[in-house]
Amino acid sequence: MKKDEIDYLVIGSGASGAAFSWKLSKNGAKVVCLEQGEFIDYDSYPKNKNTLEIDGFTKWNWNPNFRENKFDYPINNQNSPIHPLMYNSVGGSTIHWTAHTPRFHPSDFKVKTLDGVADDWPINYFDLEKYYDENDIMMGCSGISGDPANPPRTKRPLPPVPLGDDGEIMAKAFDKLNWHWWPSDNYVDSNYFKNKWEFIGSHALMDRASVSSTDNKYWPEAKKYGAKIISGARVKKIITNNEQRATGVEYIKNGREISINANNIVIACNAIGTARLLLMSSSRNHQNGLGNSSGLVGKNLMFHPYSFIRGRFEGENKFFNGPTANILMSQQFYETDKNRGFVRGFSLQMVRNHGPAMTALELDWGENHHEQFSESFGNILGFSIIAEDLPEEKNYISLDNRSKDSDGLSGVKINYELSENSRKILDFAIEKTDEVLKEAGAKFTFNTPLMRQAGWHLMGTAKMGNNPEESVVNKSGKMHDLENVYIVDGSLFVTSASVNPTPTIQAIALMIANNLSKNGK
Amino acid sequence: MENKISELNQRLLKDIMNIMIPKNDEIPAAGDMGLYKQIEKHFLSSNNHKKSIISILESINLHPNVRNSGNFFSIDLTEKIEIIRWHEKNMIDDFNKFKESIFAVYYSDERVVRKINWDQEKVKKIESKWDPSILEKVKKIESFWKKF
Repeated sequence: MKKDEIDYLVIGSGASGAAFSWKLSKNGAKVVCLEQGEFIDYDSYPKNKNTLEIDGFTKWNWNPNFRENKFDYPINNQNSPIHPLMYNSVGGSTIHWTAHTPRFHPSDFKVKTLDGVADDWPINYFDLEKYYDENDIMMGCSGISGDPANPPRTKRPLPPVPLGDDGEIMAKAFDKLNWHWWPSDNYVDSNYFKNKWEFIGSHALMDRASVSSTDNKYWPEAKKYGAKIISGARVKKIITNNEQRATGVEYIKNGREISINANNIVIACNAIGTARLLLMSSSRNHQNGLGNSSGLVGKNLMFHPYSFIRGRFEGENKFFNGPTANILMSQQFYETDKNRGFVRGFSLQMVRNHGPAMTALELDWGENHHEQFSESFGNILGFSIIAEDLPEEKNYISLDNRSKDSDGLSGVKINYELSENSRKILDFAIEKTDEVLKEAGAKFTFNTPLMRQAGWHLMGTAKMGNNPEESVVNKSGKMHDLENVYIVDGSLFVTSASVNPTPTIQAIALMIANNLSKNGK
Repeated sequence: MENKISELNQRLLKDIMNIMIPKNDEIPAAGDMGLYKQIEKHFLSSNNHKKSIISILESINLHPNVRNSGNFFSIDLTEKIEIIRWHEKNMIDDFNKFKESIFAVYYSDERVVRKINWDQEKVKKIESKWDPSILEKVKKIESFWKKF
């Protein structure tokens, strides 16, 4: 290996790309990362809390189609009831998230064995355990060990974020029903946060400094070991030779096309962006997209279908103090119970009252609006119901040549239908969640049966597996069809579990990086 | 992108805003608060929202009852409400964005913020401490994760 050669060219600097780059550079590899977005300065986050919700609907919308940022790419959502959400920047979507960080359960890796659906993963929870721990330390996890729904964990690096009066009301309601609940693990600095509640209202645009993201946790460390980021660099294509090897990539920066060579290519663009890049990288030897001999690149797209249920309480409460969503979680109905008429299950994540505009949008307009608002604002508590989505080949992404990004590259089209199993999970979950809200004292409940702007969790599209005919990458993240191309993001998920996926994505990226280091590749 | 809409549509938007968010004690109805400039600034500069806002306004202008009456302003309130409801029901995505822009500018206006006590400083002063005793009962649940 020549001195100036790049060992690993990582595409994407978000949750997985950052973790991977840190681990490999720490172990002595020369790592360069190409990121289509730019560094987002803390000063560019909204400062005026009164107009925070306007920002959340426009330039800080989770949906890239609304932001119209030149580093995003167009996503055609016409064939999907759930719209993908993401942020393209150094740090990826971790710069604009709730930082809620539960782990998969051991059963999530054995769905075929347990329930006869989807597939088992070629790895298990215990393969990942030490990487979960490592990631929790790097990202700064607040929480408390002892959750009876999950395997024992090491002491959380930071103390739990206080539940607040509203969290305690809900915890007691779960206790009365004898249902499981536990304070949420999250990547929020509870020491800093302890007596300084600045999370106000509607979404993740809160006190930026106390929320971990990979640009403020992994990248400063990775850079110390020599890793480099080239931002504003959009990869157009992965280049291969005739020997099943990638030689490098072509990328566009400031309108100029540039080629860069590397010994290994690592894709970390999320389950939409990674499949898009593989499909854009078709060539004579890979006519249906790079590494797509199985025909599965882009297929088995999974979201977490979300329902949202809220309860209105009496009085003059202030249920908007504290993080919007990282409060407590119930996994009472996580595992399959065949008596319910569906397989797998769901998690409940408590959500506080939104800001005023978000509160008002859920109420009627017209002559009764003000009365409804005064009864509701500050008095709403609810739950996000996060259902396990099973992989189906009919749910896929394809290139959309009718829409182009700012560099003239094709956008993507989402083709997704909610499965009958997911609908049954959500319907059952709404019924059960209604019970806990009423137990807590809610006088009135209302729900959104399926949230449209809720595609935060992007999974599948380059499935991991042992059989090259039935999967895209092996258990080390290496593409079956290529000797030196790896995928380390949520694309390789075999199933989705019913929890936020980021710690699992990062743990897998660390595991893959560690294996590569050990093998001296 | 040009972020203005025609004067007729501005007037129509103001009238609809007055219906959707009427006067509240001392605070005028949303359309009478001069919030159009805020909609223009924040939402008409975005293709996505602008498309939806214009679609709703144009569709209302083309509604048979509006055309029969000559314009939206000359029909009675009940009928105006019915027309808006029709759009809410039949142009769901566009109407949601239309409504989002109206509610967002209204609830970010300082007069409204004061009225609803959305006082950020007060919110910040509320403190909470972690109380481990809250776990007393749930800790007694036997571990129920499955080992594989």
